[in-house]
Amino acid sequence: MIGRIGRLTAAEFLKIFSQPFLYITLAAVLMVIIGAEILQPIFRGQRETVLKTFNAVQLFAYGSQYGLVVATYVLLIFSSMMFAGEFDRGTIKNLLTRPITRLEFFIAKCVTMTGLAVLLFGFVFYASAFYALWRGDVGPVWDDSAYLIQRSGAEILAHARKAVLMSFLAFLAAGALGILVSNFTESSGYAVAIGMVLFLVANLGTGMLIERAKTRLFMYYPSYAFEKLAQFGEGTTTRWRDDIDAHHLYLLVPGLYIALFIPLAFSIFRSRNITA
Amino acid sequence: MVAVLHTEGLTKHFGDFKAVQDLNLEVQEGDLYGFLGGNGSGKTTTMRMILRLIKPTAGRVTLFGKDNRHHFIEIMKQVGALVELPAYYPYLSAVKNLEILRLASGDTPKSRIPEVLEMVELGPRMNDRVGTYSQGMRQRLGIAMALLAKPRLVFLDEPTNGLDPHGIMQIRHIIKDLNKREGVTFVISSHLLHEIELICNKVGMIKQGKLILQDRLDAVIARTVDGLHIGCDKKEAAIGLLQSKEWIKQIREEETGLIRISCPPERFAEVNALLAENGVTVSELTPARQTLEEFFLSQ
Repeated sequence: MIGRIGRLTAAEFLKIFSQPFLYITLAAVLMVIIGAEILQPIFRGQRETVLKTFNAVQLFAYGSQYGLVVATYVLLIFSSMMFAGEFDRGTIKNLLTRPITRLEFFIAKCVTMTGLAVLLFGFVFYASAFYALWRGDVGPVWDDSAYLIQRSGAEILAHARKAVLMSFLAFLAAGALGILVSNFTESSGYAVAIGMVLFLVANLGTGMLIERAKTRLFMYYPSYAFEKLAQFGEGTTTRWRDDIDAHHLYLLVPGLYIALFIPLAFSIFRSRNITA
Repeated sequence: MVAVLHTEGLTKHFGDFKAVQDLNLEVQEGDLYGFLGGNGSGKTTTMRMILRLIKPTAGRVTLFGKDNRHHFIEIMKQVGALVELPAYYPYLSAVKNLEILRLASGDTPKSRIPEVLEMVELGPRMNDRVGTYSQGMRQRLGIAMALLAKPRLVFLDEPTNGLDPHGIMQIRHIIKDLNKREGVTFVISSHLLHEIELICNKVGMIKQGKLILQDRLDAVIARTVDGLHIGCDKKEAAIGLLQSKEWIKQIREEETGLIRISCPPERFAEVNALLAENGVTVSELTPARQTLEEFFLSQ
């Protein structure tokens, strides 16, 4: 079974890496990461440090924050097309008439989605880090009013690590949402549209909710994590939210969404008649 | 002979619509089985149920003597299929399309890909994107996909769709050759009765979801004999004599000058005697048969 899932996953990656769309989206993500430096004053109003330029932590936080937004949509698009695309083209019947079970096929798709999530997340993280280290000042973060060194290198690194950890599972949950909507319809266009609309509405809705309610939605965590990291970089705050930390909500909430989406998607897929 | 495919009471209902009803198919090893039926008769639904793409409402499918619900992987290692239109990834080459299926198939060596593409004459274009292929080339790629894992049993749903006469002959040749050389069993669904007549040795006919006939092709052809062509002198007298017999259904003079009558084969000798006894000299008496198409429509 594991061998078959491994081979199917290899086949899935062959398909993904052969799609020009992947490289176009990676280029788009890269542009957003680089452009974050320019977009920052437009969207948020620039918070300068005493050095009058963005430091590396800020650039990393800004790049990751915007890059991750775009990467989330890219992951959502790819995962929404994973099943619906096979139905759309009719290739599902080619695959399911091979010596594999539907469960193996489904797991291979999920593994592929996770792999793609790691790839996109890693790309955002590394591209942001490289750009930040190239363009930003490396060194301690200053408080611009008190002119005091607020953060040590180790502390900054710990915060960055936490921001990355806090956002990954939520990022993966977006992929799981894509897998679910991909099983709602046999049209990849519809699947992508449904996925995008659902995510967009939920994302916009998150902004309108009270703080406590926000923490119940998985899409809250990546923006919160990098927003907070940006604030550290700007030297304006030192604290993460206690309630999130205490209950590991950043792992628990996206984990619950994944645990809901994936079995539901499989039950739809398993009971489906393949008439494509 | 071993039954490689056996269905028992196979039934599929889509709501109130009865797509397939109580189907009992039997395909022996080495058969070239033609599965005949008009559009919407239930051929593709049957194939999909056999391949477990669709869950049957009732009934059972046995392949190589094993239930397809419990031994699916084992069974599918020996099965190839082209169901309805060929499906592919248009942005990939034929080689990469087959590589995906090779990975899904398991034990198939990589060298099988060019081999099977050469077999369907796609060798020179094997590295081109499939999106640039003509309909006939895509159809041939679909057949290559079905044959990739060297199956013992191949299901081909309308395999000659969209092919030109050369392509049709080529596919016919591949099927017959694989059947003869390697003993591969084929189940070919088609509404082109003439095509089935040229390839198959056994046929099953399905109409409105029900199997109306299943037999060896030669036995079916024997059943298509429904009358005589008669060459004789004194044609008017002969027609008058023939009209006097109520068991002769149709009498008409054909452009060839022969008289065509419809009557049961067991009465052929009686026809000859009737004409001879009444002074009509019979110069030709040959069985007249319906085309498979006419036979199918008359069922």
